[in-house]
Amino acid sequence: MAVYILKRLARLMAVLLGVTFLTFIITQAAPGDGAQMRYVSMGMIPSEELLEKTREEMGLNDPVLVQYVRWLGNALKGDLGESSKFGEPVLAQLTKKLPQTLKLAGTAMVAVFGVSLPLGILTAVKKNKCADYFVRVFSFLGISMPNFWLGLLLMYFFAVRLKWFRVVSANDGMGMVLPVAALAIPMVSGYARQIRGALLEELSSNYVAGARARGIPERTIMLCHVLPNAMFSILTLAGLSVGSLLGGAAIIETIFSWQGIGNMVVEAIRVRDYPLIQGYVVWMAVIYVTVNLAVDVICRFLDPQTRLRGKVD
Amino acid sequence: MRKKWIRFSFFLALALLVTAMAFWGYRFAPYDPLETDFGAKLTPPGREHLMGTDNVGRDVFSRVLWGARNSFSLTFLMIILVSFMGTWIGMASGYFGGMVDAVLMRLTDILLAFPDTVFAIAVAGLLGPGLFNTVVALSFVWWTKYARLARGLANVIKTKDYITQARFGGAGTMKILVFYVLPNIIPQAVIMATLDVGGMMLALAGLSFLGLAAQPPAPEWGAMLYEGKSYMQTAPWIMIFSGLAIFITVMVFNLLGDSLRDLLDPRET
Repeated sequence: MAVYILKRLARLMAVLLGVTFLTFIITQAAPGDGAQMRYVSMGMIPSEELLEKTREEMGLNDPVLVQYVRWLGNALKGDLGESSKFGEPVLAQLTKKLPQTLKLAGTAMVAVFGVSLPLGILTAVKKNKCADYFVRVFSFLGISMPNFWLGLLLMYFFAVRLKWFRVVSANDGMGMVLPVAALAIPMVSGYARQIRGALLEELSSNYVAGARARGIPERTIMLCHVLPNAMFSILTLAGLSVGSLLGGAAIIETIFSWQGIGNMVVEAIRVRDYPLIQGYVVWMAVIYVTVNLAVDVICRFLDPQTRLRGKVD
Repeated sequence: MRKKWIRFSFFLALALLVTAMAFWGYRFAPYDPLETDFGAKLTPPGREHLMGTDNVGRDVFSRVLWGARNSFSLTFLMIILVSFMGTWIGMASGYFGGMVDAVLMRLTDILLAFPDTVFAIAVAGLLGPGLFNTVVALSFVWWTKYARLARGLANVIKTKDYITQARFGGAGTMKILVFYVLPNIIPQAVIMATLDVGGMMLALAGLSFLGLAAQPPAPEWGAMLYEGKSYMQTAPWIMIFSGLAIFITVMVFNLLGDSLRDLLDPRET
C-alpha cells in the first residue's frame, strides 16, 4: 500500500511539474511581458531603455528554463507573484476567493450525487421500464443543455420574473440556490446514466445470480451486495466530476456574480493579469489531481481483493 | 438491428438538415446581421422581427442564422483538426512504441489529468482573447482523447497476422499505417468525433460566452448569449433564442452520436 501511494505521489508530482511547465511556456508565448505589465498597471508608458532595464532586473532575459526553476522555487515557498489587477500577492487573492468556489462546487457535488444516485438505482432496477426511458430522455436534454444558458434562464425566471431571488447573488445560502442548480442540473442526468451502467454491470455478475438463487430479496441484494461493489466506480466518477464542477464554476460564477475563483480568473484574463491566471491554473491542478489521487487510494484501500492479495499494482 | 438503422438514419437526416440550415440558412435572413437600427432597438419578437431585436436594433433571427454558420464551421473544423491530429499521433505512438510512445503518453497523462474547461480557459486567457487562440487552446486539450484511442487500437492491430503478412509482402511502414492500421481505427474515431460535436460546440460557446473566443459584433451563438446577458431584464429574447439554437443543435448531434455508437459498437449497454 505504501509503495502504491508513493508511486502515485511521484506521478502526481510529475503531472504537476508538467502542468506548471506548460502554463509557463504558454505565458512566454503570450503577448506583452512582465516588465511591460508592471508599467501598464502603474498607468505609464515606459521607454525602451527603461523596459530593458526592468527586464534585466526581473530576470526576464534569462533562459526560459532558468526562469521556470526560479518561479517554481518561489511557488513552493508560497510566492506566486503579485497580481497586477488587485495589487496584492496572488496567494492572498486565491485564498480569499477559493473558499467561495469550494462552497459552490461542493454543494453542487452533493446535489449531483444526492439526486443521481437514487435515480441511477431506480433506472437500473427498472431497466427498460417507463422510469428508465424518462431518465434517458431527460439525460439527453441535460447533456445538451449549456450550463451557462440554463444559468441565464434560471436567473430570468426565478430572479427577474418571479423575484424569488436577487439577480446579483449575495454570496449567502439563498444566493447559492440558483448557481448550484445551474451547475448541478446538466450533470445530474449524465451521472445518473453512468451510475445505472455501473450498477447494471454488477447486476449481471454471478454472485447476484447466486444470491437470487438462494432467495435473497432483491432489495437486500441491491443495497448490501451490488451497491457496495459499485461504490468504487461511483467514487471514481465523483472524483472526476470535480473537474467539470471547477470548470463549470468559472462560467456560472460570472453569471451570478459569485465572488469565487472562477469569476476572479475571468476578470484576470480581461486585464491580462498573468501571475493570477498562472496561480489559478496551478491551484486547480493541485485540487483536481489530489482529489483523484485520494479517491484512487481510498478505492484501493477499501477493495478487499487488494488487501487479500497483499500487494497492489 | 433494423430499428437501430432507422434510428440512425432519422438522426442523420436531422443532423444534415440542421447543418444545411447552418450553412445556407443565412440566405433566408431577413436583415443584415450587422446592420443597426436604433429606431427599433430592443423590439420584442413580432411580425417585423421574428425573434426581436437587440440593444442596437440588430435582428436576432438574422443573427442566429448567421451565427449558425460561424459556430458550425468552427466546430467542424476543430473536430476534424483534433481527430486527425490525435489519431495520427496516437497511431504512430502505438505502432512504433518505445521512447516516442513513452513521451507521448506522459504528455497525454498530464493533459488528461486536468479539467479541460479549466485548461482551455487558462490557455485562451494566457494567449489573450480571440478566435484563433481559442482554437489553439481547445485543440491543445482535445487531441489527447483521440491519441489514447488510436494508440490502444494500434497496439492491438500491430500484432495481427495481416500486418506481418503485409510486411512479408514488402509493404513499407507508411503503407502499412495508411492501408492496414488506419482503416481499423477510423470507425472508432468517427464514433468519437460524432459524439464530440456537441461537446465541442458547447466548449466553444462557453469560451465565447466568457468573451474569450468570438469577439462582438461578429454573430456567434455564445457571443450573442454573452451580449444578451446584459439585457436580460429588458430583452430576454436575445439570450433565449441564441441559447435555444445551441441547445437544439447540440442535442441533435448527441442523439446522432449515440445512435451511431449503438449501430457500430457491438457492446450493448
